[in-house]
Amino acid sequence: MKRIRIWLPAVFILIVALTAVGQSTSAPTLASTVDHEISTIEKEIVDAAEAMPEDRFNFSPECLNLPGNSYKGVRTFAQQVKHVAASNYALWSPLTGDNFPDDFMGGNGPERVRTKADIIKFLKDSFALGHKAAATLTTENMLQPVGSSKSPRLHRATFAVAHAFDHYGQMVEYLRMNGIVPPASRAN
Amino acid sequence: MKRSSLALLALPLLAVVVATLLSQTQPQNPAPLPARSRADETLDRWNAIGNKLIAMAQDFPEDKYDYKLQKDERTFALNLLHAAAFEYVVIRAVSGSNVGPDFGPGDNPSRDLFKTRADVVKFVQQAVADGADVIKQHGDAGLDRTIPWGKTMHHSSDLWVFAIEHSAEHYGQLVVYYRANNMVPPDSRRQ
Repeated sequence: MKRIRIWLPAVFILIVALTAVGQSTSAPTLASTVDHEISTIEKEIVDAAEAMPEDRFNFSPECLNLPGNSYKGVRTFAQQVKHVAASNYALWSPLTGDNFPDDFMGGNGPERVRTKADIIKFLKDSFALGHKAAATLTTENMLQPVGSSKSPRLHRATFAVAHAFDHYGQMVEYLRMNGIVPPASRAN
Repeated sequence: MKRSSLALLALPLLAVVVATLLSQTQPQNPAPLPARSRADETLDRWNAIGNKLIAMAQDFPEDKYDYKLQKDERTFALNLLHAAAFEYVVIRAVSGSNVGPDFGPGDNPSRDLFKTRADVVKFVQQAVADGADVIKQHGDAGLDRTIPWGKTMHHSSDLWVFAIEHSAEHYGQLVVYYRANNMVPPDSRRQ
């Protein structure tokens, strides 16, 4: 009985250790690889959105009236974030089978989403859909077109990430125009 | 008898001809396109963002190449050089070769090595072309090869996408540089 009591914790530790080793060496799947990409841009873009003060959320370079610029009518910071979120929904919802809400049409998301908190929630929700979409990807279905589009599933899943990076790059400049170093650059 | 035999032959022939003509004039559901390979998809994505950067490099005035929007940022030229150099870092890791020009350590080449707009354009073009060649040569099987990257092993497909996304981020920054100089980015002029 005493021997069992000594061995039980050792066996438990061994099982935990083996499980951990198994997890760290398991080969990444297509779904996990795409999910990782989504997580990367999600962190950068959510952190950037949170770094912008609420009273600057409707900032557009147009309002700086820089001499000789071409910023007339460009998206505000809030619209950049909403555009990324709405595009995420448009690109990922066909993969998950979720409905694409009518009021998301127009590229900038619903008019009713206005406050910083609401916009960030909209953004986070769109990335939650992205993780769900990534989980549907397999090596068997990745090249299948989905919905009415000719784009294969894999293309839709990863194009959304590249598209978000394009707008993240613009958000970085908007932050710096407001004297804010983007969170991802602060460690450097 | 002979006339009726001819009619028997002619009627089905006529029916076939009419049916064929009708089928050609009526819209049909087009056959689904054959599935494209993963390498083709990756190549399209690689070229799409690469060509957008090349278009900017060729289009932006040379006398504004050292423009930057804020201090502590890369200039227009340095953004392009960094994006292309990072593409080379990935190309070299995936191909296991030292393809491309020598641009020093890291992924921030000095402007001293690429003094003119022509030098920068050539470097960006070379990076896009060299990457495209490796994607084509390695094909689908190459995308599943695992290679060391930092402290972990990665599928090369992951690294290609990483480079594409990284270029997209810098493209986004250059969009803002463009408009600060009263110019519309080439890709936005088409819309």
